[in-house]
Order: sequence, then structure tokens, then C-alpha cells
Amino acid sequence: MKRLIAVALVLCVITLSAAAQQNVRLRLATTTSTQDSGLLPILNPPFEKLTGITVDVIAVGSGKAIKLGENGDVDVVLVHDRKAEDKFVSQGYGVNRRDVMHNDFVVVGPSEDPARVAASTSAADAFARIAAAGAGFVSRGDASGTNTKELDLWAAAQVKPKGAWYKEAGQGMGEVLVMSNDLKAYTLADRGTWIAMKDKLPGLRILSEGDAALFNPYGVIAVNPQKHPEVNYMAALQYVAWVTSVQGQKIIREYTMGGQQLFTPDAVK
Amino acid sequence: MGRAFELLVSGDREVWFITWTSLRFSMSSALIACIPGIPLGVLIALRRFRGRRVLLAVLTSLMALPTVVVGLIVYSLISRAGPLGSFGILFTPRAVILGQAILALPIVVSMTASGLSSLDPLFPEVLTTLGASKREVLWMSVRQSRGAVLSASLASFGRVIGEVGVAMMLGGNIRWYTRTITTAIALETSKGEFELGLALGMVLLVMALGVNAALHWMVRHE
Amino acid sequence: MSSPSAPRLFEIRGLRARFDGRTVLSVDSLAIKEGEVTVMVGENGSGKTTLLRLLNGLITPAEGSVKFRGKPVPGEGLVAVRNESVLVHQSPLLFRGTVGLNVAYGPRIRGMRRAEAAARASAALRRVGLPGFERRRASALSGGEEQRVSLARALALTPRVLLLDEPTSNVDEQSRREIETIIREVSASGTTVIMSTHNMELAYRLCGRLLRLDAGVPAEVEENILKGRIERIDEQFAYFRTGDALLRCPARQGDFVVAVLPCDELILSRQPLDSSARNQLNGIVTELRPAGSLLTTVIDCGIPLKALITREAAAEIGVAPGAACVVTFKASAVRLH
Repeated sequence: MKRLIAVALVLCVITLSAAAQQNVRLRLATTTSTQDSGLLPILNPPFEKLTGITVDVIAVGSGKAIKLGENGDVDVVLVHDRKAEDKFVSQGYGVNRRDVMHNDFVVVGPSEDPARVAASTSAADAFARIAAAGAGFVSRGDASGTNTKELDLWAAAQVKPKGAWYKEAGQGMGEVLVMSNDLKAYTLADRGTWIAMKDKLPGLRILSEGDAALFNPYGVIAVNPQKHPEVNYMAALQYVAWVTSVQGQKIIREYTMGGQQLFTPDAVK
Repeated sequence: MGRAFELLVSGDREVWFITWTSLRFSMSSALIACIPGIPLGVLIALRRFRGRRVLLAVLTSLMALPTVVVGLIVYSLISRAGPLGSFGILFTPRAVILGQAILALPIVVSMTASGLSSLDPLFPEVLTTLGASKREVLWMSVRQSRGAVLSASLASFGRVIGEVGVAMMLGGNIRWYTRTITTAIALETSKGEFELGLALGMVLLVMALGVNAALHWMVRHE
Repeated sequence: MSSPSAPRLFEIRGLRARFDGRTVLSVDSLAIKEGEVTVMVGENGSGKTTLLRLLNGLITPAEGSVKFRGKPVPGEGLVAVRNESVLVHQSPLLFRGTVGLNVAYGPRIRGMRRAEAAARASAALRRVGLPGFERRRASALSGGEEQRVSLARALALTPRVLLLDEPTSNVDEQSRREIETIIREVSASGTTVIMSTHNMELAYRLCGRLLRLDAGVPAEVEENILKGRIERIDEQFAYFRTGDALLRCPARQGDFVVAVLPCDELILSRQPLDSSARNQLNGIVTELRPAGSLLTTVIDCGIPLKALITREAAAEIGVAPGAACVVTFKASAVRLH
């Protein structure tokens, strides 16, 4: 009994001490794409070394990331949903928005391409073909930046996505790609995640790309300290500065996977 | 699977850190749940009061509470926008431990209570006639049923180490900080890294087995 | 103390105990003297255990009062009753761990130092014939040993009053004898013993006073319980010496300490009777009181003998205090224990 209590106490002390040794932490809410593509694990450590600030990356959909910012649960957001970002800033939740980088979306689908998307003339046309053929489509369905873009494209194609062929997964980009591969379905993916994962998706290939409508810009926004005085605004600005700095932008430009560049920096050309 | 063992054997720092984090969170939350949970269970087992049966039934149903519900409730409390937001503990280890402790509490209370009810009903009286005060009766009852109390704490540990809802919602799956085995598995699965997910699952299993074996050993060698 | 005599150890008045709305014990008046061995017998559920628990202040009566040395229990007298008395439950209910830990528990919980409590425990274990058992595991004991450890656990407190609930249930004959000896020694050292039992043999041999509980109501037993010993045995009779009287009993070998003679087996007469009954004692009537439709008389025959007779018979042979009479009973009416 005494031994048990001793063990319990030691564990308690370890836990509390571990919880107590907190250095400056910056909470970054971002999209799954920046995390899953492997960019942030490369981009953040030099910043942490430089400033002594530890970056806590909370990878969720863009919608949720912005919501976390509105609640003041994070200090800075890095997302790709321009409309939502502008609203976030105009409502006073976010300040100092900066363009960081962009990549683009691609329409991927089964190699057999039953809806003949490969022959499409635009992204909207590709979506119209998928709907017309009633071919399977997996949607993120999670209010992420990718999901918002996808819904915009359906609107452009004048299609109301509904029916057995349209599957709302409610999951991250990686899961949705894996599902599409298994279901032999089409989906909209950001190029970064696609490149990072394509080795695991033998049944899928890019069927439509390059349309201006598929442009996918990322922005970084600090949470307004006037709305949430407790956020770490100083660290947030340092982070905004880092990702838009010459060094930060260089890391983004030079980040490749399988020999392919994933993101194009926008802050420093 | 081979790659997973390679990672473990080669001492991949991150894998070990994740494992340690899981262990730390689960042990802490189980322990924290035990601090009020065991005395509460003892009181429920030994005292007769109105609504005791109802309370036990409620506790038993709470044992099956979905982890995401607990996660959501705690999230809404400790988010900056919530009533406890000023503490700023969302997406920290404390948040995960708090949520998991809440998850563990009904298990500790109801299993302690049911464990102690196997104690002879005359046992408290034997202690009383020998001169024990009410508090000493409670303490001795716990000592007598330490097997049951231990299984209660073990069961709560098992519940929290395997849960993903609270760890994900309240911890945010932050690398080198709040990433646990379960949230790491969720992440690896989302990236299509099923092998690594499976391997981490194996680590989880081995860990649960190890903790159980260690505690049983301690009980036997009392 | 207002009354001229010192208060009795326990005094019970108008006591009612209920369980699940059922009255399980109903004692109008009962007093227990210090230093005596009081034995309660009765069916299961006749209220023996309940009475013991009430005496120890472990439960609260629904009505009436239990007083210990003149103070109510539970209440003012609870501290005293807890300090001076201890109840040994029917089932041993030992704690996990060693025998030493069990026996030292009482002294320890009452604030005694570890070494002192251990010494007390060792002494108590010697008293129950288990010297050197301190380090044994309680879970590895036989039934009889468990019962004796449970007894030692109470004796370690050196109680003035020992309450025993069925101390010999679930033990073999050998252990029963050992426990009887222990109780006899405890009583001889001045401790008041109040116990319940199913075992009539044990009850007769140990009791100073025997109470029979019937559906929660205690009553004195209508028997003469005579302490003594076998003086000699011939081929026909065993001669049992009790006080100044020598009783002829059926010849039986054994270590008998009690002769039991039911009150209704006694025949009273003015002159010696010419009969087959082998015991005839001359005596003087010292007491006569009604007992329902009958009369209880006490005749001093060198020992006081209680007899039940009808009012008609009493009138016919002139039974009255101070009158001489002859008491006759068969040898086979005497039961030795």
C-alpha cells in the first residue's frame, strides 16, 4: 500500500512539474494541408530556435481554425479561405493579415476517368461532368478551405451536389484522398497534400488543373488583442514576420517533395 | 509492422515522446480522478442515504459517456469564450488531463463502490467496536478492498489511455506537446500511414498490458 | 449516584429494537451484574445478536434505553462502553495481513505506541493459545484459529466487559473446548462476559446466569443449574457434589462441571416418599412466589433448589417460607454437562 502511494505521488510530481515548465508558447491554428504536407515541421523549428518561442500547431480545417481565432483560443491562424479570412478581419477578430504563399487545387479521380474529366475545359466544366455522369465524389464536408472552394466550384458549374454519388466525409484531406482511392471516386485536393500522398493513392491521378479558379492562396492573420487581451500578440506578430520574411519564404520555396515544389511564396517574390 | 519495430528499437525520439505523453496524461488523469473518486465510492458503498441507488445508476450510465461529449463540454468551458477561458488551458496538457479525469471519475467512483460492497456488511461494526472512528473505518475499508480499488483505478486508466475524443479536442494533437498515441494514430491514419498507426496501436496495447502487470505484481507483493 | 446501591453494569428498560419495521427485540427490564457470565440461548433470529450490539452501543434502540454504569448508550455512556467493552462478532472477519496486525489493531487505533501494542498483541495471542502467531497471514488460518485470533483481537484491549456472539459456531469440538477454557479464564480474571450461543453444553458449563430469548423476549430458564464436580462414580451412579448437597446422577464418565435439574422434575412432600426416585434431600422453604398459574418455591437443601408446584399442592402440603420439606427427584432427571 505504501509503495503504491509512493509510486502515485512520484507520477503526480512528474506530471505537475512537466506541466509547470512552460516557456513562451504560440498557438497556431492552421489547416491540415500545411501540417500533412510536412511544411510546418520544416518552417517552424528555425523560428523556435531564433525566438525561443514554442509553436503549438493545431491542425484543423480552415473554418475551425478561424473559429478558434474568433474565440481567442489561438494566437495566430494560417489558413486558405480568402472569403472567410476577410470576414475574420472585417469583424475585428483578426489583424495584420499577410499573404504567405499559394499553391493550387487539383481535381483528382480514378485513372479510368468514367466522367471524362480529363477532357474538361475548366474546373467548373470538370465538376459539371462529374455530376452529369453521377460518378462518385468525396467532399471534405468540414467547412475547410478546400471544402469552401469545392462548394464555389459546384456553384460555378450550376450543380446542386446531392445524391448517392456525393459523399460528405467530414474528414481531413488525407482521409478524403484515401477514401476516394478506395471508392474510385473524384475529389478536390490541394496540390501539397496530393503530392505528399500520391504514392499511397495508386488508383488516382490528376484529371483537371491549372484553371485560375483553382488558385489556392494562404494567409497568416494575428488574433486581435483588442478582442482577446490574453492572446500572445507579440509572438503572433513575430510569427507573421517570420513566415513572410526572406528566410521564411526561402524555406517555403525550397520545400519539395518527390522533387516537386509544393508551395509558391507570395510575400517575397 | 517491421518499420514500426524499427522505429521503436532504434529509439525514435518522437515515438518515445508520444508514448511517454500518453502514459503521463493517462496516469495523471486516473490519479486525479482517484483523489475524489475513491473516497466518494467508499462513502456511497458504506453509507445508506436517500437516492443512493439512483446515484449509482447515474454513475454507471456516465461510465459509458462518449468521450467526445466530455471533450465538447470541457471545451466549451475552457475555451477563451467560455466561463473558464481566463485560465487559458485549452490545447495544453492540463486540458487533456482535466478532460480525461472527468472521463475517469465515474468509473473510479462506481467501481470502488461496487468493489467495497463485497465487504462484509459487519466489517465497519467490527472496526467500530475495536475503537475506530468513522474516518478510520473508511480508511480501513479502502485498505481491505484495495484489490477492488486498484482495479477501479486501472479500469479508469484503461479508459483514458485508449480514448481519442478528449485528447484530440482539448489537446489539439500538438507535436512535442499534447500528441498522444491515439491522436497520433488518428493523424497517421489521415495521412494514409496505416502501418505506423498500427504500430502505435501495438505500443498502446503493450503499454496497457505492462501497466496492468506491474500493478498486479505490486498487489501480489504487498 | 442517587440510588443507595451502585448501578448495575447494564440496565435495560422498555427496550424495543426494530428491523425493517419488525420488532426483533423486546426487553421490558433486564440488569446485568459486573463480573458475571451471562449466557443467552435461543433460536436464530431470537434477538441475541441485536441485544449484544445494543449493549455495545453499535445500534440505537427504537424505544427504551440501555444504560451502562447508569449512563445511556448510545449517548453519555458511549465513550465508557467503548472504552470498557468490546464485541466479538460471530464471524471472525479478520483483516488482510498478519495475525499480529489484526490483534494489535485495537490498541493501535486507540493511540498506543507500536511496540506497546505489539506486546499487548503477543500477550493476547498467548491467552488464546496461539503464541508466536504474530507473523502468520490471517488468510492462512484454520476456522478455529481464526475464531481465536478474533477473540485475541478483542482481548488485546483488556476489556472489562467481553461481549461474545456465538464464539464457537463454525469450529470443531477441539477448538470449542479451547475457547471454553479461554472464556473461563477471562471470566476468572474478573472480566464480565455476556455471550450468546447455540451450544447448550457450552451455555450450561459457562453460565452464571442463563437467559433464553424467545422471539426477542428474554426469560430466565426454569432449571436449577448447579455448579460442582463429580465426587465419585460406582457402577450405578455418579455422585455430583454441589455445595453441601450430593446428587445421584446416571453413571457417566466425563469432565462434568454442571448438573442441570429442571424445576418441574422436583417433587415436594412433608414426609420422605417411598418411591423409585433416587434423590431425596431435606430442606427448608425460603421463598414462594407466583409464576403464572403456578408457584415458584426455593428450598434450601444445602444448596438453593427452585421448584414449580401448583397452588393446590402447595396448600395441601403446607408449603410456606420457613416450613421444612423433602425434595425428591429421579437420578435420571439430573443432566450432567
